[in-house]
Amino acid sequence: MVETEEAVRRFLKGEEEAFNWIVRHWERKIYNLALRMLGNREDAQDIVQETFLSVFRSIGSLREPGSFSTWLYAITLNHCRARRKLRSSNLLAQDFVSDRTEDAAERLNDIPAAKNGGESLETLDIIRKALADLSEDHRTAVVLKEYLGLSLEELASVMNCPLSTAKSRLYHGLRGVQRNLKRMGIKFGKS
Amino acid sequence: MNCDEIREHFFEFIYSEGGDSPASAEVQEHLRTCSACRMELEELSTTRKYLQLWKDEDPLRKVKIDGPGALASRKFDWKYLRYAAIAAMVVFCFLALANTQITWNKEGFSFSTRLFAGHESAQDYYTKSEVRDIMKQALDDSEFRMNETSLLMVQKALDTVEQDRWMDLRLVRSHEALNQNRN
Repeated sequence: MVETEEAVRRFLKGEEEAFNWIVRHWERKIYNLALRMLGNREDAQDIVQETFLSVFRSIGSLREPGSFSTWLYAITLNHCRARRKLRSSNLLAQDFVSDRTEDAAERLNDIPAAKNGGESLETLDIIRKALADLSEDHRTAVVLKEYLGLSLEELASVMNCPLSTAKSRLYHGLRGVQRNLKRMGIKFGKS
Repeated sequence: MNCDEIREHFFEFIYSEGGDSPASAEVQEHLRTCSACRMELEELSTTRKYLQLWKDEDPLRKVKIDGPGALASRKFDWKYLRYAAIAAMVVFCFLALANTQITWNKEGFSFSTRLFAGHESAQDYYTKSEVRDIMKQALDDSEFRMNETSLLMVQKALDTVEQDRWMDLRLVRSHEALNQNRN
């Protein structure tokens, strides 16, 4: 991420065009991070806007431009947390509970098909609900690792916790997703 | 290590971040002999594959930036809005105080206010000629009452003098009658 680091330095020196580059370069990642944390596209889009507004306001406090990505992820997660508090806190959980097991089992058949073509809406819905039912920390660890490919050290840095805690959250988060997928009728193993 | 301890090291296999840690050999040995842990590891790998089905999407809209100035102006909008609200409150308070009306009469104390001085009706005020008439009437009334009072006082004084005169006359007559009897 040398380009990002360079762009941050240029922006801090007063080159406003560098900020446009930062936004264009990072907005897709931030949008997808927020989408997976919140499970809602409109909310995710709002989070992107709010995140870059926060970045613009406080980028002067960033001491080490090399750590821009972890700093940006941390800001995004803070906004996601605030958004979840604002929203009806049980919205995602209610969606999950109200989903009939039979329906979810029917959707299971769509998943192998998704391997050949793009993922179907039903597949996304099942995965979204499996993630949504995790605790905030477990979901954050899984999303950062699985979708953003952060190393365990970066994960610990973004989540502001010790490395051992980050490992534990990731493991238990992954097991939580596995448990939720099973609960929705998805079968694992060789069968 | 028991199964629970072994499973704590699964992420090293799943994410290949364990390297050649001392635990790796022991975990691999355990996996060869423990079918439950082997199945657990396979299921976690499958879980990752399911998660990877959710691909990245394009944002619904591009972030609105017509240069960072647009973001900055959004930030300052809130600040100006706050100042404007405070200024409006001060103006309202000033207008409310300026148009305050306090009344204290026989009916008691009353307080009323309004933001703007309303249009006063002409019927609420006397004209100059009406004021002149009222004053004239008041003066006439007071002169009439003074004359009446003076007349009553003179009348009273005359009555008193007349009464005294009769009293004196009666006294003189009674003295005269007494002297005649002695003689």
